[in-house]
Amino acid sequence: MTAEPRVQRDQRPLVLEVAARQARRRGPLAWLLTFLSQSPLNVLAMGLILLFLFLVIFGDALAPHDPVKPDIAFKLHAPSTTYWFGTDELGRDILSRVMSGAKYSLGIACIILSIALIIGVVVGAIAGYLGGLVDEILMRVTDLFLAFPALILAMAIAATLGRNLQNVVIALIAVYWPWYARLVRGQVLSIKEREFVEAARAVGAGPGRVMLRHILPNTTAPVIVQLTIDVGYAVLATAGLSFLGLGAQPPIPEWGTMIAGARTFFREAWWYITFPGLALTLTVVGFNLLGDGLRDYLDPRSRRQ
Amino acid sequence: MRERQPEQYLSLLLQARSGRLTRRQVLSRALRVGLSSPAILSLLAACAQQEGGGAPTPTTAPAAGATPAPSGPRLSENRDFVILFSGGVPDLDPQSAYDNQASALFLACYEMLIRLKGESTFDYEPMLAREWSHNDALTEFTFKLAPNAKFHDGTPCDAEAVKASFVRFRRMERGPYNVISRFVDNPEDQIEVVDPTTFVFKTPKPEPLFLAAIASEYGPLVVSPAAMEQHKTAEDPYAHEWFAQNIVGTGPYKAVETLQQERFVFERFPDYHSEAPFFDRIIARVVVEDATRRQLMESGEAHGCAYFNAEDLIALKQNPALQVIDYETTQVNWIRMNYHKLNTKARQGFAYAWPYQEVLDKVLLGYGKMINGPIPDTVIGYDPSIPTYTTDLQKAKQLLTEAGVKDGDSFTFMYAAGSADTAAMAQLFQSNLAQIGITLELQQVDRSALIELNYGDAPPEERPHFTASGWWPDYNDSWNQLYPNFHSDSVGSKGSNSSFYQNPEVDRLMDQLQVATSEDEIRELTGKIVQIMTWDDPAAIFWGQITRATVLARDIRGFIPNGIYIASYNFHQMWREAV
Repeated sequence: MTAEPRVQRDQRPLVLEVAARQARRRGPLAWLLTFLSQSPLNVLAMGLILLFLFLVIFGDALAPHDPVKPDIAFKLHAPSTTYWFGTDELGRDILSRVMSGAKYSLGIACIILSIALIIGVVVGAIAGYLGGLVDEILMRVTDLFLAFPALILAMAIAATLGRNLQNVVIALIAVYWPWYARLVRGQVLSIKEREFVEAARAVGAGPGRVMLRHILPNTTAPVIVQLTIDVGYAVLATAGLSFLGLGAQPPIPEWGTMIAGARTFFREAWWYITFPGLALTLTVVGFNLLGDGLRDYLDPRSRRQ
Repeated sequence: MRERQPEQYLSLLLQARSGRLTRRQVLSRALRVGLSSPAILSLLAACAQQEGGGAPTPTTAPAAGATPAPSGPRLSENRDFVILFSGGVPDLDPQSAYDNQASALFLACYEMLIRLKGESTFDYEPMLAREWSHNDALTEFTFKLAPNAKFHDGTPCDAEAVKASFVRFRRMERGPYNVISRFVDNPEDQIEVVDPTTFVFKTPKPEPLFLAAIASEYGPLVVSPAAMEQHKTAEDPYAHEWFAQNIVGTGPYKAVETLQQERFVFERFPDYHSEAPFFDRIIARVVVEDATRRQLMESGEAHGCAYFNAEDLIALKQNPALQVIDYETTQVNWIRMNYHKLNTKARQGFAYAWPYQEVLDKVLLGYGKMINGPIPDTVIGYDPSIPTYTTDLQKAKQLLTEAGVKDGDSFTFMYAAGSADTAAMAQLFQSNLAQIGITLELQQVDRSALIELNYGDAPPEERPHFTASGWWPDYNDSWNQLYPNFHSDSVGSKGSNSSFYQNPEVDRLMDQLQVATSEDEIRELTGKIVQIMTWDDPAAIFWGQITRATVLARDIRGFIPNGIYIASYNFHQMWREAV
């Protein structure tokens, strides 16, 4: 349960971008098929992710029972044909809560990373492109955020702002954006010295156009790889904060909150803690496998290593 | 009530046979539940058998190192008793801490003058005082101390020391000091030392409840005046800061380790003035997680715990290595309603929206029963004629509409995290309100944060609409249950009236109740107060009188629960049988 990246982002090999560009040229479907054919794990990852993304969108609508309304006459019923995943201490269907909870756990992780990405890209691009004093100031601010252990910082922010999901989003954005700022800055620093950027400048392109048309598009591949890996960790961090009581509050069926509620009953009702735990595990595994698969696919050199 | 008779009979029979009830208690309880005369006679016969010495299990601890009788139970060689708490004990000053877990600890190392006897709430037995008496007018109460009583610091505990300790308790005015201030306003004059082991409390008017109050485990415990003198400062003349972290009493155990958020270790005090207890060491461990406490009990690493949710208690009853001892208490649980944010009709409406039966039957699984107000049926002053609320969402909606509450209006309910039972109740309440178009936002906070808010100085406007709470009296008396919680003198940090309930008529009646001298007068005044606080101008949602349980290892003997000393242990009488 950490929000820290697992690789040194500034040193990502340039070959990544080249491979990504080549892949894109072949068309998205062909690219996807080629990617999936590389490894059965890629198929598994994609399957898991599609399943959970489907639940994010349709989970509420397809839930067989009301995920929120208690029906205490059915409390802690074991899995059965009526309640496939059993019921919780208030008689609510755990399957319905897991399905409905996808939009809180996974959906919120996606929102967190989207916003963190936007902030990180803007800060990283400005710092990398302008350099000098601006770079120094922005990077020292970034270092300030990176200096704290990620989850501790998130806990401190969430606890200070108040216990709800909105504040978890703010806390985790604060944790994640510096990593993207660092990554994009590193990419921009290396790309801005390349010949095609020089050529664009030589023909009169302004800084905005150079950045938006020539530099940033070439930073996407490593960012996407990192993003896929981080989704899993962001889901874990969201669930972790909710587990600690800092995130989603009852009756929201967020997976971390469900696991926290199930702790008391795990001896009598194994199903209560198992299914939200399984949903969380599979989501994280799915995104990690996808991230690894993408990195291997886009960067053959790292796969050989 | 009628359907429950057989189980109540069975429960009474078991308690009578085990010697946990006196004849008088059996008779009063049997009459209260309406048992037939033959059934009552058979219960009394069971009592007589017990009192005649027919029981195989002693209820007092064999002396330390005693040789067991050849035919009696064998004593275990294991002389450690490990108990579990659900949270830390930040304040160890017995004249300041108003905390149930702290009190449980204090009964190992500090002493009151007298203590409640067995399960009774009005019979007493010696503790620090060997003898006590009072005049017919109930204005002079004489206590005679054990001549060899010593504090853990080696200084003698004589009458002057006890007087100094009570002066500190009264003058320091912390926590439970209303236990003494009701009777003793001027301790320097009202406590008269007769000789080194004898002293007299003198009260200006008859005080039939004085002995009950002096036997409370909240406050009237005796601390070492020598330690106070040694550690007091100009800013802290009562050495409260020092006593909050150190223990110097006269109890059978002295503290050897006090890690207030982790564990406490007590060892037998060799100079204890009475018979040495059975256990060599009492160890209290702080274990926050419900599941971990249960695991420690099941694995045999811990031997006693009074903090389990109902679901766990039902499961633990199936474990042959453990004994679950259920007992009736004086505890009533309620949901405080913010008096300044909610008008009378709104409070009445919310009281109708509470899921009473679901909570008692499905969440507490029978570890509670309906109650008609803040006074439990085990406390003097209880008036059974006052009706009880039942869930009626239509009525709730009607009253809330009349109160000006509109569809979609949002309210806040704050409760301490960590209790699965409270979380379940809150969600059931939330669901009921959602059915009538009202949003209830649940706020789980740390126990310490809730306590800080409840007993702090935050104005009512900054407090939530609802907070989960509960209370039991320091001694068997309705005023003692009501005053700290609902008198306007007790708002905010001045007491426990965290909902800022301020009804002048209730105040007036409570002031009369404080000086009432007869049981009839107490019952009449209490009934009037409860009628107002429950129906006419509700102070809280009084949702249940709680049955508690203490879980012990199977081989522990001598434990006697008491409805006033809730979740505490009679360490000095407990022992372990070799099995």
